[in-house]
Amino acid sequence: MESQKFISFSNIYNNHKKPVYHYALKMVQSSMTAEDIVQNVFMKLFEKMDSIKSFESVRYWLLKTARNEVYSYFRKTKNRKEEALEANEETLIESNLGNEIEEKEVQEMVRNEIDLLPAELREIFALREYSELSYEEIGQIVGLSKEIIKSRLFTIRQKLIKNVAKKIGV
Amino acid sequence: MICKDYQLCIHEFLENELKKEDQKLLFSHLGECEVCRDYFSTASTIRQTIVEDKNLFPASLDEEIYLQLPKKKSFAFEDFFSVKIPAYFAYVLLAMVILLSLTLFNEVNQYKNELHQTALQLKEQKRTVELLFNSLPAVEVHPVSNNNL
Repeated sequence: MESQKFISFSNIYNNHKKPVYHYALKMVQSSMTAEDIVQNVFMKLFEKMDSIKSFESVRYWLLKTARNEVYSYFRKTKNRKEEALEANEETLIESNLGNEIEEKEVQEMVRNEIDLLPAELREIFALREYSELSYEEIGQIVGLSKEIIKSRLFTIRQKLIKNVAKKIGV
Repeated sequence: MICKDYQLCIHEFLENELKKEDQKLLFSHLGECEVCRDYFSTASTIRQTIVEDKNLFPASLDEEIYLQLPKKKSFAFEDFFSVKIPAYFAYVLLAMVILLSLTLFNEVNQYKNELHQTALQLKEQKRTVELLFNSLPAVEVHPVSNNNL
């Protein structure tokens, strides 16, 4: 019985660790905090393994739990997060000074632009792009309808493309 | 369709959700429209960055998480009792236990009766022996003297 629990946990962990980690990373913008969040989420999963009857929507459950952890972190470090965003903006300006833009730089620019999105938009974007949730699942997590999520996602992508294009001079 | 519709198609295409017929329309439009071509190019760059990032994961985190898990227990007492026994096997076992109990109960009862009978017989024998002993005539003892002094 105990061994079965470990095997199930291991399977779920290997299949869903990356989406949970990248969602947390995009939201908190700190790899150490994202790692802590992933640990907390999977420890909670392990505690609840016996009571989970269906593992079909386990990714949804994991991301919802990760979201609670992220918002709990935001509440604790509200001021520090704003400082980090300002620092990011400075880095972005500095990185844009060079004339020749290489692929790596473009990718870094894209990452910065994603990080600069407002938290509520970044969340929808991360849940779709990094965690690969359906529009319905994202809607359930953030409390919006499928249509609104679809439309917001398109707006976010347009904004992102516009900003990146401006930076790389397309 | 206007450029905005084609841009929506670009995202669907990058997510592998665009139908074949719409793909043809999209690519013929991209051949004509430079704005949408640039949009497609930037969208692909963003997508590529995300795909590369998605595969990254801190290697040390796996170890940290597995170390935090409670240790695996060996086959413990509660595990033995939590093992599910098929119902028919349980019924057979129960019937055997009941039969064995009844047999033992009968055996004990029989042994108890035999013991009681033996005790009664012994008591009777003891009484007979006492009666026989008491019915014997009294023995008179006369002293005989061979002393010629």
